[in-house]
Amino acid sequence: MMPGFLRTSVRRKTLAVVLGTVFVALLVNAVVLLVFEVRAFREGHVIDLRTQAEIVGRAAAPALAFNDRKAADQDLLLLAGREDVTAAAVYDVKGTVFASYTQAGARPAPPQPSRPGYEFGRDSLEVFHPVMSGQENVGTVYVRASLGLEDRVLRYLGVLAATTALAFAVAWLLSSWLQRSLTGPIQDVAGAARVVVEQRDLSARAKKTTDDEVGLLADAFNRMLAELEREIGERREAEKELRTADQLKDEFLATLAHELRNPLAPIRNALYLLDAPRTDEAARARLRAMMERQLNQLIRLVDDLLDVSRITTGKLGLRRGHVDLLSVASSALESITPLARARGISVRAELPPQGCIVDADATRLAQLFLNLLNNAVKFSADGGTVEFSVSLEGADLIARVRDQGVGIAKEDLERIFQMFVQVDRSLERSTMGLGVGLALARRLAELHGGTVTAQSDGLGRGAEFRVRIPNVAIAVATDGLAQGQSPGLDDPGRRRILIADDNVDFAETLAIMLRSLGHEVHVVHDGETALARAAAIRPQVAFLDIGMPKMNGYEVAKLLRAGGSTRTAVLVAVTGWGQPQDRARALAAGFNEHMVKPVDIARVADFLRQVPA
Amino acid sequence: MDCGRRAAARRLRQRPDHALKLLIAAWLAFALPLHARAQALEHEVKAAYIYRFLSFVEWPADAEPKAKAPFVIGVDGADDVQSQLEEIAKDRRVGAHPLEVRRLRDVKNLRELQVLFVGQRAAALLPKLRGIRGLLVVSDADDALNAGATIALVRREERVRFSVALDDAEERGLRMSSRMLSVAEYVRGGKP
Repeated sequence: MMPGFLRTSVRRKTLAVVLGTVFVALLVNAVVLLVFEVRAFREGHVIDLRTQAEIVGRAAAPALAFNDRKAADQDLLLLAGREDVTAAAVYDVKGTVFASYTQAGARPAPPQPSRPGYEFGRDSLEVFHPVMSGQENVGTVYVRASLGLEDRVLRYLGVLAATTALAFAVAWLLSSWLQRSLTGPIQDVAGAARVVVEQRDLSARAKKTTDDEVGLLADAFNRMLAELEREIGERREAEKELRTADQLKDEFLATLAHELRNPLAPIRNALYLLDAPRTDEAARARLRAMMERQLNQLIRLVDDLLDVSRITTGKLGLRRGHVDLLSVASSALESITPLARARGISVRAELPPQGCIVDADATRLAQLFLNLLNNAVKFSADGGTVEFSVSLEGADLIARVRDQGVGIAKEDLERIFQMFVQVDRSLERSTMGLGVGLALARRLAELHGGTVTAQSDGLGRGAEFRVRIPNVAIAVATDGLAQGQSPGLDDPGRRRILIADDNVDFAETLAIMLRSLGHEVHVVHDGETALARAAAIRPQVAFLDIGMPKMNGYEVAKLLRAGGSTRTAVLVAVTGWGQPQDRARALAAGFNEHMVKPVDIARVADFLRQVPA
Repeated sequence: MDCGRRAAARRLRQRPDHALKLLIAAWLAFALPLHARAQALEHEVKAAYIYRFLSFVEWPADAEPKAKAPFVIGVDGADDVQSQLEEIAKDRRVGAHPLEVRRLRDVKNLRELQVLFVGQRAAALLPKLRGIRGLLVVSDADDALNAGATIALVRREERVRFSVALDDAEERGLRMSSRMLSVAEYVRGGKP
């Protein structure tokens, strides 16, 4: 029965509980009343019949005392008026019947009296009562009365049954009425829950009609639904974003492969042509220039990739220092010049005077400018113009890169800063790039606490990218001051440099690049020689490979730091190991700087410019 | 039993003189003691009646016995009844007073009595007892009511009954219970 009961609805359950409770209460009530009624009835009858016997006894006392049977008969006739008295008798003091009365059809009184008292028979009550004359017991009175208890109990039961039925009916009506206010709200909540489960409709809400626990339940239910709806919505959104990101990544990988491969063919062709005996010197120069461009493109791609990976893993950090804004801007400008020149694009630069010092990471700031310039050049028509300006406004650094290229649709102004997003699909793949440049630029600005925004009058009307990095200026120099601060040497930029690397090609190319920048460069290919040469020439800067024969870079650095004449040299570790712990180890060994191969010549030039004379 | 009777009858027929003698002997043996027993029973009943009257009669306050004094029933001319009464009076009390039975020796002592039983032999005393306040006079003498008794005990059909003279009782300041009167054989006087 219980499982069946558990399955029925709340409405039926409460009805069953109410009616069950009412029924049990009424039943207990009826039983108790009945027991009390029967007891009271019997006690009342005992008292009544004793009184009757006492009265008859008093009346019959003289008759017994003076032996008058006729008078005793008369006295007993007093009882004949009572219908319930079925038999009565008076016994004399010896115990013989003195007078008796018996109702028609009833059992006569017993021939002998019993001891005084009362006794219940089957639906009858017998009383023996002593008759006193003064202090003398002169006899006994016997009275028997029918109780009519069964009749009475039956009538009583009838009344109880009727009242119980009435109470039951009233309770049923009342509980039905109450249920509407009690289970109605519960059913509302249950209905809402059913809609949610069956129709998967999370926008369903339970109606709150009361302020009690059910109201609380409805509120809690609704709040949970709202929460669920919101979270599921967020999850769908996140899934959508993930799918988009995944798609972007697929496209990115395809582009990347293409981009990486693109410069390789021209370089191989150029190498072949350089070896060919019929190629004249002018052609060789053009080929070298072309190779350099392609190589730079490759290096830039790989650098970008590394930065992307750093951004996604959150490892892109800044090494801030006091940086001359002019040198940073010039470095970016120098880097973009070959590409711009190749496409006949003129870059009009408006740079700050020397001596404008900002608190920034020189390399990253230059990269930021370069990325914007690269973007502007890429989307400009051949022979177009790109405007580049860098300045300080108060303590804020402002940079603008403006082109007259394809422009940006209004709705894409923000989207272009997302990683891997490429808005203009009309471009050829070869010029597309990876879709990371602007994202990187924005990220770098943000790392400096600044912003990059894009503006465009629409497609085909060019675009302007604006960088704003607040509160970075440390010194705003006039031209005169800047000149005064520069070191007073014949050629302030010229440095004596030692390069130690067992990779002969790398060492030589780096040497050629540094020499082209006007520096005095010495090249060695192992650690020991590096030490000896350093002691001899006392270089201002030494680029040391870590993995060298005979003595590795760390040891060389330690010994250079220990030696008197080489102690103050700026030591740069140049290595394939780019992990943070590699950097830490290099710095611990006494290096000032840690550069990862392939080394960007712009960065090296930039670095050398900051080395004190 | 039948055999015995027939045998006795045979003997009677055989000896008539004997039979007569036997009859006389039987009467002497049975009738006389029977009479004596009936007499004794009658005395017993009369004594009981006298005692029972006490609970149906109310004495005037001034005639009740003094504190600690006994409630006295006097008897004159009825030794048998007296002895029965003395038997009854043992350990009995009337109200707070012990019950005492005395033979009446001197008429002067009447004031000490609450009840006086006058036997047949002392019937002559009855007229002298008229109107004495607080004295219930009971008698089994002939025509006792007229002679001056308050309650007369009479024999009717082998039973002892009693009659009451309410006028006499009124004179003595005694009040008789109507319950007692309801079983009296005859009641004289009183309000109709």
